[in-house]
Amino acid sequence: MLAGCKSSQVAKPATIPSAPQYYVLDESKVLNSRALKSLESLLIEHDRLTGEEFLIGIFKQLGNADVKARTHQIFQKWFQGKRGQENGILLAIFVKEQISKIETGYGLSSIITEDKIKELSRSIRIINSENNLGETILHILETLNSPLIQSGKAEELLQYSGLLTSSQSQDLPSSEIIFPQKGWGALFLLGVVAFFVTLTHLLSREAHFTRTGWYRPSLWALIKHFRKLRHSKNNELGGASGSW
Amino acid sequence: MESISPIIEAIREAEKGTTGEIRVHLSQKWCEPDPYKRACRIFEQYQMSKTIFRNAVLIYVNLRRRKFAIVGDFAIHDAVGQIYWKNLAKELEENLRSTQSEKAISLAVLSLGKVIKEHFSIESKLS
Repeated sequence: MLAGCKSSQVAKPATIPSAPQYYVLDESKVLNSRALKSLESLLIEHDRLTGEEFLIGIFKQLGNADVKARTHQIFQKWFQGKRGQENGILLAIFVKEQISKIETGYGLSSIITEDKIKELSRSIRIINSENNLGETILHILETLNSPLIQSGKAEELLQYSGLLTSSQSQDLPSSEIIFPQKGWGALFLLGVVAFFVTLTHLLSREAHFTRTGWYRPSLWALIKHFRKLRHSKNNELGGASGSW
Repeated sequence: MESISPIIEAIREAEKGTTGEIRVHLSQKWCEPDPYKRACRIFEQYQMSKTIFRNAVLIYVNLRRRKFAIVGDFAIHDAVGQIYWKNLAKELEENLRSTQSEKAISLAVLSLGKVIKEHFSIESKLS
């Protein structure tokens, strides 16, 4: 009896990683840093404008699990106790099997119907064409009537990220969604350099001679006497000045 | 900064047998609108007005801007008068134009030392 039976090995379900802080989890590292940052910016902005939490999870593999069940588990974990249970949307992509699934909160199920989900899922082929991922995200946002579609910022960002090809050039968009922090870092560095140059200039170009020898003035001595120097005026001194 | 030992030697020679104190301050600051004002500040900064006999003198020279100033405390200023300072400044200016700066400064220090010895020698204080 036992000969015909294969010993069944229950596959240990893979642990579900924690929800990404910035809306995109790229477990299999298929996205470059530019694409990742652009997607994060896009989804953060969409949430800010609409209150809809759109999360993307790109996982290495599905394993033996059913795609629908697995996606549901991920959705439950990532949106547990959060407002996303009502208006959240999860796009789960399993790279090895090249399949994907979309799951929505009950508030969005009337907008993104099952037929729509099937249609969107079929269009994703991560490995073969990143363009399809960009298009899928664009279609999802269109379905959600995202303000970013109407303003053109979604398409602009996806083109910049490289996830959506276009005949137009892919210059950096002027959108404030992109993190514009490089300027401040350079300014701070310049300030630090200027400070040290000034300090060096102040300290290294002076020499004071007495009968015992000569020395450079210390910064502490200058600071200590600064206030006195500003307010004290010794009218008892005499002297003269000149130039050559 | 150029060689410094001639200046220190000159200071030692000038102060020998006197109660006076002579200091020299060299600078290469880019900005020097008023060397006399700066010299007064340095005079206060190094507390040169706190000598017993109030006869300290500071020679300030900005080598980059080619300006200088001489500042004396009230006792020596009282003893020599403003004309002396102007003459000393003129002498220093001529020396700075004609010779190396440290030599010119040394000469000014030695010249100053003669005057200090005349008015503030240790022997006269002891007697």
